Amino acid sequence: MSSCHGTVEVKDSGANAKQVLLIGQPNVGKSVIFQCLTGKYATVSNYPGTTVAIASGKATFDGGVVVVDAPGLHSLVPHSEDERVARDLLLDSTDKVVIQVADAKEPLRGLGLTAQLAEAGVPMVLALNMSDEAADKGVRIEADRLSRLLGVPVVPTVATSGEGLRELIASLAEARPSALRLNYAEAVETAIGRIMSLLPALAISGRAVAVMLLRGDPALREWLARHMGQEQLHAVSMVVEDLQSHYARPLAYVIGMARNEQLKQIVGQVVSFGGARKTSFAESLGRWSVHPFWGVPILLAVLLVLYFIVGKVGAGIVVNFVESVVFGEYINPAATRLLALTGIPLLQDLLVGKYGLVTIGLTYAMAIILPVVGFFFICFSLMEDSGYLPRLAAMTHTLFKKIGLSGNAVLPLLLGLGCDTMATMTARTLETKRERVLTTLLLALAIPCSAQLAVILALLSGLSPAATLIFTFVLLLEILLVGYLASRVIPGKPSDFVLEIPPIRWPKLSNVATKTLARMEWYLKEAVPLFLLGTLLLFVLDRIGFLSLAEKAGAPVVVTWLGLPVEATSSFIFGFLRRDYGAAGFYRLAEQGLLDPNQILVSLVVITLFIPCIANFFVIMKERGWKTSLAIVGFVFPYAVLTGGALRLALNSLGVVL
Amino acid sequence: MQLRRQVEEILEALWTAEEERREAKQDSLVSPHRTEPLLQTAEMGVAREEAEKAGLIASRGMVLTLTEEGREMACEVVRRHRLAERLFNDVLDVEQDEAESSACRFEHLLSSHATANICILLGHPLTCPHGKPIPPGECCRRRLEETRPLVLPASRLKPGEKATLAYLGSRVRDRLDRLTALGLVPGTAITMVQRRPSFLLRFGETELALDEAIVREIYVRRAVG
Repeated sequence: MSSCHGTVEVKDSGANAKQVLLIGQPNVGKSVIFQCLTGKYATVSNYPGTTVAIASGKATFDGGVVVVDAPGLHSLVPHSEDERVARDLLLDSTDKVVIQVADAKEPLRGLGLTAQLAEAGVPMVLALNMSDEAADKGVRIEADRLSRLLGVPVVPTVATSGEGLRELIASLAEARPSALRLNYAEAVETAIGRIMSLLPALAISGRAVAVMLLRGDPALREWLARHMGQEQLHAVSMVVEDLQSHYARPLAYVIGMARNEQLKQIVGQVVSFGGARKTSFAESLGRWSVHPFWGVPILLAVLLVLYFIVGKVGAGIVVNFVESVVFGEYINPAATRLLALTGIPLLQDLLVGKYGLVTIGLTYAMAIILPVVGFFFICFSLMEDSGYLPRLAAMTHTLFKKIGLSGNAVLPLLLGLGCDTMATMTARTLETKRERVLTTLLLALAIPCSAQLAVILALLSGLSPAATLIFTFVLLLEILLVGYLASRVIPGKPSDFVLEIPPIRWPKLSNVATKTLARMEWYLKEAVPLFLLGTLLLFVLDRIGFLSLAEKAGAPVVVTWLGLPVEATSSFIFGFLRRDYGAAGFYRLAEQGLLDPNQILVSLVVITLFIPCIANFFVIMKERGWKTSLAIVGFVFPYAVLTGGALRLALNSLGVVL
Repeated sequence: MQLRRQVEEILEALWTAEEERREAKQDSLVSPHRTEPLLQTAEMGVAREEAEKAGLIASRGMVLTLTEEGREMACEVVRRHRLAERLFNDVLDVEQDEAESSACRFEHLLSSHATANICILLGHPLTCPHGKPIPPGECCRRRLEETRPLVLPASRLKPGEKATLAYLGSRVRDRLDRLTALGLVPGTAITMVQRRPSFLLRFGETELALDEAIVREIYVRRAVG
């Protein structure tokens, strides 16, 4: 980020390693430090689980070094896919240095990971990040003394302002394996020794691997199976089982307790807590936002502000201006006149005709969707950076538990409002397969992404508020209904709901701006080409007469069952590519007066329940496998159409005219 | 009294067999805490006859079953044993093997009054450290308002109440691992921030939203006063 570039130019840091790994517990600021060390953009927010995949970039301070940003890791024994990715980085690569980023407010927890990294024997330095917040809370850590006890450099940092980063980079030269050594009960030590004698030579210390195996680490066994024979692996299992039989509690707990006892001693020596601290306004706000009573009006207020900024200002005023003035009065007429000069009818049709790349593809993408996406991402970034999203998850956990999910799934679902594709990847943070599949399904089915919301809001803002209410009601009903039914069908248990609630922080406007711009750029790169491609496809289909065939074939569904005009067929074809594109088609039809309000509502519900976009489909394939993906697709499309028709019938039989 | 003790051993073994849905055969009946067959010695044979005479157990061929009366008594023995295990393991922090052998002795010694007090002290735990259910006693059914148990599930703390973590009662490895990694370990001072819409615990500078099922497994000592 721009705030820290100037401050961290240290030449010749002396770090000989080829790779610097940023390892730390979730939401401690690894990605902010990554931005500072590489100058590369990484999404930064105030909730655990923002980073779910590895990012790497060349260090600005030493061209030969690659800095790797890893997802958050509670301990070296992973519980979810994103944690596993981070842990596996430590297992394989040699020639690496670890920067452990720890929350200075929670020294004991940070040291828990330090101790495990020490066991692993990797050269490291420790960054005590958010040391400003720690100081505010009266948590004081004597970094020098801690550094002597651990035998590694310890640097207090405030990554968001760049404080301490120069020292952190300089300290990389002094990185070494920590001298900290934890001792366990005799029986445990014996078992560790026995396992170590069975292990082959590895890139990571045998002691660390032995401890992970004792703690129970199925993923590690898979990895080990590549390095050692079945027989030795079996022998390892015997040692683990034998030790477990001595203890009533799982070994993970026995080891965790022993570690904590010893680390508490260190914390006692170097950390002092205290100093009267006042409850800040931000803290009170955080408290109210999860309050059983006040939480509800706050949620409503947030939604109302969101609706006003995105729906009224973005989708109403700005879209209107860009679409009817910028594109309607200038760009499109100019393009039409310009092309008339060429005198080539095919080119005119291709660019400014009924399915023209400029008049349809570009206009949809730039005039209708982009402005709303921009406004939405500003608001969304504010919510992400303030720490409100995990609070919303805590507020709604009980409700989601009723449909067989947990509050853990709320965060990915909310992120789906930004982009369903990204959110589908965030489902990695969920601990059970069942929950990941359920969340992926709900995202694909019923969570409109920002681009889609853009068109929906633009369309709904022209109708009575009742239409918006019915639309929202139908979608919420679908989430609850499908969630409830699917949770009965899909085997497995919901994962444990244990969610850390970060402090409320005032969003940094620079981060909000960077993030919004990055996301708009991403939208332009990802969506606009697809819009143009889709338009081109339709143009071709129209030319070869396929479109009228499709309209005839689709008529029973589109006209008879959904009660829409036959022209709507092409919007549904758009919708297979990107549902926001399909919705934009309806927007155009509505403008032409071809849809009455009831029809608008029905068409919006159907298109919203479609699979979000091709990209989303590919990510579902990648994350969940082709079987699950096909099952989801096979369910979603018929179900969307079914729901739309049912809604039409319900509106008709109740005599609702919007 | 030696005989009573032996009868109780038999009852306990039969209860455990029932619990594990095993058929209890005379020649293969084992105590849950030992591996050699229970009814090998002449002494135990006498105890078995006594128990049958007293109407506590019934035999058909080689198969032994508990009578209604016997089951009630067995329930008490098992309850005493598992409560004692909890006491030694979680509160007194005694080594596993020693806790086990002590519990084996305690199950025959404790009066019903002492048992109830241990149960209250431990906050009416639901399972023994091995995860087996502790049969509820009269005190658990009553759960008097005026009892201020020393150790209780955190789910019973009121909003704003402070307590010290005594032990994690969970048997689920992943859950224990996650909670300990977050710093929820014995001795940690915690505050119940709120109970609805979801449980919110605060410790150190951390705030954690948790499902009720997990909070129920976090046993705490109430702060005095």
